[in-house]
Amino acid sequence: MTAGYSVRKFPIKSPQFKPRLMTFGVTTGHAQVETLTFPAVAGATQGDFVVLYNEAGQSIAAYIDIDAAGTAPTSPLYTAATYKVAISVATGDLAAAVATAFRTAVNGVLPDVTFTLASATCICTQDIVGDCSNAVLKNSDGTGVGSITNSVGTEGLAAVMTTGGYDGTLTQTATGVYTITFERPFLRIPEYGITTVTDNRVPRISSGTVSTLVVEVSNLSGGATIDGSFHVLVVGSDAKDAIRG
Amino acid sequence: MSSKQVLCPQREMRLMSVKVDGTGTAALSGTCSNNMTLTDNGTGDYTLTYNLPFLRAPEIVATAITDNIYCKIGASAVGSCQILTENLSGAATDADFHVIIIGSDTADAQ
Repeated sequence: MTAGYSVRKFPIKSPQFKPRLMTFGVTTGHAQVETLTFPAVAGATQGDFVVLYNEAGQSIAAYIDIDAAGTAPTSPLYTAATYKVAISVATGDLAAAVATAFRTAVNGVLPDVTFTLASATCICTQDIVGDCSNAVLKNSDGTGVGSITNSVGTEGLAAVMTTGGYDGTLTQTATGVYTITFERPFLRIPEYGITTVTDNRVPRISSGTVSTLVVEVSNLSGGATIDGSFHVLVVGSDAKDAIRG
Repeated sequence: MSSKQVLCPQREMRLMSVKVDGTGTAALSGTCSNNMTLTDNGTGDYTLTYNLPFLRAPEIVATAITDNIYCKIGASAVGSCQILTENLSGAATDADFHVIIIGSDTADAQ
């Protein structure tokens, strides 16, 4: 504020007893996108493995099994995985064939991840927004990095409440579905104003109670919900009865 | 609970909010439903008339409850506001929605 200048402040009134105004800002998170690059069998070693995680913390460990002669890795990183599979390849297979074998082995096993082939790579896209561990890449006994490599294109990040965090908590229950739970409930169900921040999104009040607001965000075509950032105004009352007009 | 005032640089600001059930028989409920009346003008066309007019036309925020609906401010005057609800193709469609109204009871801007 400029020295010598101050903004005058006046109270806001309401015809209702004990009105309460709150504001929240919600910024959407990101789903992690990670690309795994596979070697040709000639460049791989029996038992090289990758451990891939989903947003929920589940993991799948997949090891290279050449000519069905390999054995599952002994590394604790491998044995601790939620799911364990072999990448069945043969001597002479090129990198693209190894990537295809990886996808065949893991697709539909680890929940909430979409696997897309692109030549010698497999792009692993989380279906759910949120923090996600990066893949771990090792050789059979876990002492070296192995022959599979990765790169993280988009880091997974949970949706966050950028403003209003002292007055409520945010939970994302599904793609494009957000629940704000008020730190202190109202005594009457409040009214809500919601405005999108993200382009081409339509937020709506899915449900509202004295203590929670559920916001659903869809795109301009409607249908399935989709992630988006938005601002919320909440106007409610800490008096149970509505005053007469 | 300690009460804390909401302050504003404008004098005599008044805050009201209501829920409009616009599907089926239109009805008004919510925090300030006793402080205004609702008129259903036709499909997706609603007027809220304030019991006590403002002295400056207020600002309105309207948010849909019904899926795949846009809420639009048709008009805002000192004594009433018109809310229009449309589907995602722009066709007038009945809908349920919330309205927040913030206006001033003084004629001049501070």
